[in-house]
Amino acid sequence: MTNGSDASSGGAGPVAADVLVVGGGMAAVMAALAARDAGASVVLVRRSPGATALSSGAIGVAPAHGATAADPFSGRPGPVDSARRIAAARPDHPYARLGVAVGRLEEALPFAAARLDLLAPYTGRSRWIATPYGSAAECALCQRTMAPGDLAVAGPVAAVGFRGHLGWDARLVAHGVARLRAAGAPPAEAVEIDAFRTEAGAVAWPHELARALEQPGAAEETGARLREALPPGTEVALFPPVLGLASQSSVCDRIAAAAGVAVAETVADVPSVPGLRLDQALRAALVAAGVRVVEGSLDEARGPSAPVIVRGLEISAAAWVLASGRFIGGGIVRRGALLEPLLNLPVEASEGGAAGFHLARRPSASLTQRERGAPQPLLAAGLRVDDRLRPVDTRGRPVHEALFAAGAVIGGHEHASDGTGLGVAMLTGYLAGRYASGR
Amino acid sequence: MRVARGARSAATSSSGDPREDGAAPGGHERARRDTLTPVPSRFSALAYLGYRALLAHPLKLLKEPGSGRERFLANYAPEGLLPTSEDERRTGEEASACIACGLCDAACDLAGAVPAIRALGLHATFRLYSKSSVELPWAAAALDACARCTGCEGVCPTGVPISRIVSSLRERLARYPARP
Repeated sequence: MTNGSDASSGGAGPVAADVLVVGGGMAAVMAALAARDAGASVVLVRRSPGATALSSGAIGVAPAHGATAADPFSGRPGPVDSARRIAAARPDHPYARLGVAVGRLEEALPFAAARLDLLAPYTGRSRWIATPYGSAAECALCQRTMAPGDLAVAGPVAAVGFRGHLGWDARLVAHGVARLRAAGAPPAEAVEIDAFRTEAGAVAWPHELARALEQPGAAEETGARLREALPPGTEVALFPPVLGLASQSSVCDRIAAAAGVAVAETVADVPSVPGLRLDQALRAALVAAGVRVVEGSLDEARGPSAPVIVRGLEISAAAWVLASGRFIGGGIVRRGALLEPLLNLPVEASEGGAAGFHLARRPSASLTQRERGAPQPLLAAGLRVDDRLRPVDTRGRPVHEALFAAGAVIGGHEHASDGTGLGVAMLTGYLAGRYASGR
Repeated sequence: MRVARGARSAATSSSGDPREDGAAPGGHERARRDTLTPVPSRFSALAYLGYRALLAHPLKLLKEPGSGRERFLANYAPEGLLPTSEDERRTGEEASACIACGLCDAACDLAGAVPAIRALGLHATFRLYSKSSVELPWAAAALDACARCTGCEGVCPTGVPISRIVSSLRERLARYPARP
């Protein structure tokens, strides 16, 4: 088969590959890269960016269970240990479903960091990156632009806001970092600099700020103003996550060079510029690895035993990886009941005591609980898989020997809120790619 | 005055002849029965419907010529309502998958827009104003400002066909009745 990206795909002949991956986010790309790395030929069908593009831009794998704000960062367990603890405490979580294979996070995380060049190298311990809301996010991997702001190791910090930029308040960030002193965070102050204000008012959107900073000279000018505004003794300037729209952007380094201080970003809320960068890096990694990418949606399919047609292109593959996401990506939909729309696989709405396929047939409104912290079966809904990541039927048997699932389409975890979303995507994507390629 | 046969027989069976037994215990029963809405018999109902279908409605159509669409517009256009085609209905359903994540804003040019519209973004504008026909004119400035760059194609994580929705809304807006 031919390698490389194929956006148009019209008029081409039938394509045969070893592995077909369905999805456009982190899990899908990890599966494609892992299968390709194992020597398989891979086609990836992608409708659009996945929910990965809406993520904070850093990769949370497993928050340390039960740690309080005062526990020192240095004493907390690393991401893989924390993942094992989650597996032991939550039997429905994908980490638990995988059994001993959860330990292969030790392979999957360095693999991802090596393929996605915007990520800082995996160190085996968690990094603590400030959020726009004055807390710290525990990340197993983060973007290079975030790494200097790791609160576990950074020296005195200044949170640097652009005056008038809504949605990122330097004082809120500095105050939040200062409250984490007991855990080992550095002292923090807030400063604001004037930049990119138009006559009509401040530049409103994060992506517009990011684009403005990429203009020639803009980063240098920002650096010069920062040098004037910085309190003495500052070692790291903590910026809003807008330092360049491109995954290869040099804005962060240019500001640092002009200001003479280390520069880092916080993680992002939506709309997330680091999320957009992550999506860009995923696409670049697919091209670099020689995965054939077909842009289009898969509306009808019968699984690995029959070929599918995507925008006129007939694709057949011996093994499939379904990484179609949950409610955002459309891997799981609510149409009166919870459904997996592509192959009509049984959906389990669960986490905690009353897990079961029967729940998925109940009205969605009955699957949420009023108390926010309580388990929400609706938000943890998805496929149930065996320890080889094959979706199972209502009797617990694999639906197809060569059909695998990865990422948020697998249920049992609230991927948007429990801090394991992208970690599950990386691990299950990596393993599903390996299993699908027969290794 | 006629009342439904069922109601009468139920009342009479419980209290004998209501005219002779006005006081207790059927008194309440009787007072309630008098306030019941009269229900036409099956025959008179069918006869009335037949009269409407065969005589009154054709005569009315003769008096008010024009297609169904024209008559719809005559009745509802002053209220800002437009007939919805099957295509437009499907477009509306597709638009409702928008989760306001803003990914399309990063890919959207909106070159000709005034700052207020630029700040809101195209997707927010169509999401806010396209649900109700009456509010559609408020989206006009944003729909006009769309440069048709198709940058939004294929960036929506929930699969909303944004450029198709924008052209559909623009078409609908062009047919929008002017205020009298």
